[in-house]
Amino acid sequence: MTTPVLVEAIGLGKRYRLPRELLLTPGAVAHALDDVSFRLSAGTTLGVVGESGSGKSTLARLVMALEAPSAGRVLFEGRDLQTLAPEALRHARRDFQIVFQDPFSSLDPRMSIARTVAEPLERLAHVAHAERRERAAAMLEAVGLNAAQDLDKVPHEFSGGQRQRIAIARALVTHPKLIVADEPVSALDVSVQAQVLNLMRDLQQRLGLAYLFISHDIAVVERMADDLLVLQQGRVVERGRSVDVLHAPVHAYTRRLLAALPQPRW
Amino acid sequence: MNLGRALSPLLDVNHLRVTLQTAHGPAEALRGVSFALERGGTLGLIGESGCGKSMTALALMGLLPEGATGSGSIRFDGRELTTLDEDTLCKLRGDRIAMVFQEPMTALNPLHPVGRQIAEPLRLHRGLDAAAARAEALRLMERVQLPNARSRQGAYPHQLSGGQRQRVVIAIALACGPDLLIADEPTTALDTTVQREVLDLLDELRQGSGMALLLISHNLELMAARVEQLAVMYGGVIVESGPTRAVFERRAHPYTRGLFAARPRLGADRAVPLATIAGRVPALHEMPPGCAFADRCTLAIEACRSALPPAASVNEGHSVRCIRWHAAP
Repeated sequence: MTTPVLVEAIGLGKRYRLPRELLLTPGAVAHALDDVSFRLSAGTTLGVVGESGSGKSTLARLVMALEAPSAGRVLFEGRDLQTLAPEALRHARRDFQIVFQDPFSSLDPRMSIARTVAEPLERLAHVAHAERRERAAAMLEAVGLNAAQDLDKVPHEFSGGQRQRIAIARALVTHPKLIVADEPVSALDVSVQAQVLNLMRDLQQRLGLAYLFISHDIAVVERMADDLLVLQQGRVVERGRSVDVLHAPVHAYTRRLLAALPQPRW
Repeated sequence: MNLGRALSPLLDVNHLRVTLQTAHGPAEALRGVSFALERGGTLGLIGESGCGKSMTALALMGLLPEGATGSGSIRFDGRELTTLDEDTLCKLRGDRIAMVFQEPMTALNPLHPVGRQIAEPLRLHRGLDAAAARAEALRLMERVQLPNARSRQGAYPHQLSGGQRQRVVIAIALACGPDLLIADEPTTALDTTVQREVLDLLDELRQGSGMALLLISHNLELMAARVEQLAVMYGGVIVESGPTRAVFERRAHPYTRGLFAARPRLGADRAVPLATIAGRVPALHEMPPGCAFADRCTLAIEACRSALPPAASVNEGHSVRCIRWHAAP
């Protein structure tokens, strides 16, 4: 049995021009991402690990078509998103959504939860006003919040874990096929982190979601990911089934990442 | 040094209570915290956001938020800190008690070169002149293993990486050779490999100088590797404390057990969901009179809710604030 490929990245590269240091000479070019290729199948999770500056978040931005690659292509269900007209791209966006690391800065503090969660419907899916609130309520229930109580509250009334649930509800409201999760539990406490990870696994099984799951925490990635990419300075240094990569790492950098984990003595 | 001073612990905190002014009225953030730290010892405070671990550090440093009131005793090197005036406290802070914060970018002044920021406490507390302070700052930068220290003296914080910045913050904290270093999540903002380097550095510096370390973190693995004594905090109370190894092995408090179970571990079965602790941490203004964990605890009985459980002894030096700890499997 083979599952269809949902996202395919081919030779993906992103260069940024650094600030000019001399009046008449352009600044140097930094390679944030260099020749990265992968396939992500529907309903599966691809983990991306690496340290800060390794290109993890640049990869997320390219897959989300928030930026154009300097080289290579991202195909979503076989279509290169960069070739779509703006209106078509906006419609395509309902199929892929993102959850950020910090649920304190990713939610608008003045917007009610109902509006926060329903906003993608308004912009991306042209769902009628009356139906939006209903869909938002259903999503809040799906992520374990109490819609009746919570719809008209604002973000500051929630804890960090609850806010991340709200961010997930917003990402889910358009019924996407892919969620890009950029360090989704790094800002959360251990016990809350467990709740959010369980929720993400559960939603994946119920809804057949695919995740591009980015994290610097290897134990978290091992729990979530079927396949794994290890990024170092913008390049893929190791890839494979996550079980294989983490239990028999081949590249020196992967070994170093694993060795840097504090070893439990109990 | 007189005998009484030599025998007493370096830091002795007793029945520390702190009340904050919140939108919902006064609320107790610390509800009777007691612990001691020996000279050269290491103590970890662990718990989730809002449990009171950072508030404890701020109280020790005299940095409580405006309007906060408190009671209890904080003795440092035999001296009661709670009755000292601000001028005397200023002489202790940065000199004998120093602190390293979580986020090195906000702890450093973006407008001053790092060499000057390291020299500042030396000029303030040691009265060194500019040249002597600069020379000592360079020595400190080398001691915290900042690469190319000499050429980095004039560098500004934004020109350094996160790990390098945290080394600068540590150099500032160590400048006057403090007896006590309080480190509040010192590596949370850093990459795993850099984390280990910074913690190794702290260990090495501590062993060379006999400085005591109060380490605050929510990371269990880090505590296991770095501190001899551990205090688990929940709802403004130390719910379990003792030698780190004993706490980790026995896990007498239901909350301690919950924390361990919730942690993803390498090699665990992915099909089995992570254990979670039902419910959430009560907000400061809704803290119950009894055990703050009772509403999330599977072992809770009516008596848990009526009064704060007294500290019970699990073993020598290992205590737990739970009346039901015997009932745990």
